[in-house]
Amino acid sequence: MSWQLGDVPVATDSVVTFVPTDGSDPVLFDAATARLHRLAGPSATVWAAIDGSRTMADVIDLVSALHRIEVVATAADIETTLERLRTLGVLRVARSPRRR
Amino acid sequence: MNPPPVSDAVHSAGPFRVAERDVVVRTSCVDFAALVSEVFVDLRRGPGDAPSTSTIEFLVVAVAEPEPHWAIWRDGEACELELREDAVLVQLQWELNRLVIERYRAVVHSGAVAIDGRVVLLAGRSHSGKTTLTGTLCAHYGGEYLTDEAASLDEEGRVRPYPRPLGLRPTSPLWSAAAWASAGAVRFLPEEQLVPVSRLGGPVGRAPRWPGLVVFPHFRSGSSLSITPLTQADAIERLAHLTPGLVRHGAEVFRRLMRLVTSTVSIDVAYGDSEAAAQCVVEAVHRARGAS
Repeated sequence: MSWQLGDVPVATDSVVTFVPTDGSDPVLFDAATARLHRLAGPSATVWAAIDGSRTMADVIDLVSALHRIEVVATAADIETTLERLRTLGVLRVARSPRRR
Repeated sequence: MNPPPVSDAVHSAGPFRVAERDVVVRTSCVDFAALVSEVFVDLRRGPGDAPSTSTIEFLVVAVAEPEPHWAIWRDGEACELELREDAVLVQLQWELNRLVIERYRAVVHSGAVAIDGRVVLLAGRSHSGKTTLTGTLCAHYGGEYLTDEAASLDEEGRVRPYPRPLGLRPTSPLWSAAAWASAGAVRFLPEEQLVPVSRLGGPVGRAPRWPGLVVFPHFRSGSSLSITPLTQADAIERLAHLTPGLVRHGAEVFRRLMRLVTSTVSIDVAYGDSEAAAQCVVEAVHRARGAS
C-alpha cells in the first residue's frame, strides 16, 4: 500500500498497548489474533506518535523533531514502518481530507 | 455412553472446594476414595465455609470388561473412559485444574507462595523446576502455599488460592516426603506422586494475596545459581506464553498481566540447588517489598 501524507494511521480496535513503566519496549497484544508484537527502535517511536488524529505528515514532523533529523531523511523510513505495522494487523489507515 | 449408576460408587471423598465450587468424588473403590481424601486434603472445604450453591460430582469407577480399566465422569458427562489404573489419579487432578481454568480467565502456568504476605509467582513450563522451588519455599522457608501449576489472578490483581497437591518426581529433593502412601493406594500412584503441601509441613493459604515477585525458574542439574533481572517487556512476553486464557479472553487477561508486571519485580533464576535458589528468592521478595 502506498501511504499519503494526509493519511491518518489508527491503532486497530483489537489492539491493547502495553507501555512499560521501566522504559523497556512497548508490547502490543492483538486480541483478534491473540498475538504479541514487541516494538523496538523506530517502530516504538512511530507507535508512540500515533494518536488516532495525527496524519502521516504529522508523525513525520514529530519524529523528525524528536530525533533532530531532516524530514526528508525520515519520511521513507516512517512509511516503511507504518506499512509493516499495517501488515501485522495492528494499524489501519483512515483517509483524511486534510492535506499538507 | 451413559454413566454408571451412582449406586455403583458407594465410597466418597470431599467435599473439596475448587474455584469456589464444592466438589465431591464418588468411586467404586474404597482404596481410591481413601487416597483421594489424603491427596487432596488441602483442598477440603473448611469448617467455616458455607456450602456452594451447587456441587460438582465426579464418578470414578473401575470397569472390568472387556479389559480392566477406569473411567471418570463429571456431572454425568464423560471425561475419560479408558484409563489405566496408574493414570486415574493424575487424570482426576487434571480435571480439577480444568475447573479452575474454566472458572477463571487469567490463569498462569505457575506456582504461588506467599512470603511475608507477598506472593512469589514461580512461572514456567513443565520440568522448569517451579514445583521443586514452590515446595522448598513452603517446606523450609515458611512460605504460605497458594497453588502450583494454575495461579489465577482475580479482577483486582490478587492471586487466588488453589492448594492442589504438588506433583513430585523421584529426582526431586522433596521426594522423601512422597513416601507416605498407604499400601492399598500404591497401585494408583504413578512415578510422579501427588503430595499435599501440608504433608511437607508448610502452611496452606486460604485467602487471595497480592503479588510481589515473579520468578521464572530454570532447573539444570549441577548448574550454579544465576539471577537475571527482567524488564517488564520480557516478563509480559514470557507470562503471555504461560497464560492459555489469553487466547480465549484476550484483552481483559492481557490487562491483568500488564498490572502484574508493573506492580512486581521479575527475575530469571537458573539453579541446580533448590535450597540456594529458595534462599535467593526470599531475599529478592524482601528487596522487592522494600523498593515498593
